[in-house]
Amino acid sequence: MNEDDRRYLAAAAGRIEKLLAARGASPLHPAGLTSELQVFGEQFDRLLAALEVLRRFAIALANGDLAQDAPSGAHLLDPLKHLQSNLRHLTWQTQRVAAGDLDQHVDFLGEFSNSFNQMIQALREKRSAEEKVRYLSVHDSLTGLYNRAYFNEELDRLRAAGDYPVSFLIADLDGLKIANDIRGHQVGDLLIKKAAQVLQHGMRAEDVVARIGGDEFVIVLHGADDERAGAAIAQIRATMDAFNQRDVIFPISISLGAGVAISHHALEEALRRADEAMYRDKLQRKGYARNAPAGLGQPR
Amino acid sequence: MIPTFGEHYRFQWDDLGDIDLGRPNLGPQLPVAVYRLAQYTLRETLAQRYGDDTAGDILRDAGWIAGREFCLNVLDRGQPLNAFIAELQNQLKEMGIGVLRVERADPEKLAFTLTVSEDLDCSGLPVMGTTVCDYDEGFIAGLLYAYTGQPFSAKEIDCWATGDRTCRFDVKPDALAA
Repeated sequence: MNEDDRRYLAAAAGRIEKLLAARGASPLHPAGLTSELQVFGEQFDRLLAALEVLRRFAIALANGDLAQDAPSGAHLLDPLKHLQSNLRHLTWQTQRVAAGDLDQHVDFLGEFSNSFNQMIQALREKRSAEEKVRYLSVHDSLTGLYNRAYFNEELDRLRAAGDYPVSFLIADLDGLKIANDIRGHQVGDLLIKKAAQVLQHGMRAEDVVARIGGDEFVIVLHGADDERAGAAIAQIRATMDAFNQRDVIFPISISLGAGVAISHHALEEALRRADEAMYRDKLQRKGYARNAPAGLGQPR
Repeated sequence: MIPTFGEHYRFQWDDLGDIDLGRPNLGPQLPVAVYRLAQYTLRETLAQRYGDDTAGDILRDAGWIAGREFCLNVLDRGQPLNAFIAELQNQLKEMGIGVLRVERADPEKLAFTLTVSEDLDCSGLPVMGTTVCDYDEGFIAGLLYAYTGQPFSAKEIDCWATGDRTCRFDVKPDALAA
């Protein structure tokens, strides 16, 4: 062993000390050593270089920096590279969850996977509960139609921006009170549900059918003028006739009226006209139905 | 990439036959080693006859047909991208092809970094110093072509055969790759 060998070994020991202290340890570039030590020194330099890459990559990972791509061929990094790959995918999954996709499932990070999946399950349950609350807040529990609160929201939307002209159909189930009093509320509820089915039948997906009172309904026909509103009323009457032919025990009678708004300034006026038209229709049919309340006799 | 023959090939999904009818006792599964035996002996034969590069190109073209047909016959192409990826992940896992993960995604540019762990073709292979998943590259490109109607480039950047523990693919439309 010559003097260069001794100096090299001291320097190598220093490098090992640095590595053990998790500090950077640059290669020594040995030269002029005895042949066996020279071979060892060159291999030790390769190890130092690889460990330096590993140290930098590990620090980046520990700092949450997932953007650094590891150099290929540095196989000492493989486990960390695998971890980085998993964390990148987890980042993407988390972004998907944030965007509302609750179908993500983690199965590659041990106990963390269980926790993440439990969190997703909790979010799913929360969303489901919120959707249920939201549904109940805007729907009528008896008929499944929208309720008055939703109709009021719809009016607000129409005031802000609507597809004009907009037609309103007001519908009133005739003789409900008498049916309730004579046949009981179960029959009354049945008539209300039948009326809801009749009103919904044939409506477009964008039309809004709401129950806004005990026996009162409203239909919002977007982009519909007088003619379309008249056709909708005719369709409802035809549907009602068909329903009543199938069910002669509990037929229903619905009074109908329409009003058309050509701008958001005319919404209240259109509703008022629809209401008046409905009452005119009710008066016209009242003589016919005076002794035959809904569910108890001929409807029309 | 689109193979030179484009969509004009004779293979049809029905060519796979009725496996339930044909294998009532042995069933539809078989060891991965059998698949690899076919894949790597075919690759070797192609390489012997046409050279390594051409063998890789042929396998890539075959993978493209497979990916396109897989998409047309197994996946729902009518769904949005993320739902499509989720279904693809499930199918690849269920069929034992690999565990697909998304490392990076740019939905606007349709550019992705995908990884496939436990890959059917190469997981556990000895280090050869070069990527070997040419068939997978074609498969991904063909699959996305069927979904989007655009030609895609899928380039394997990490592979078991280069010493990595997962296959990693840089995937983007040909227009971006150019």
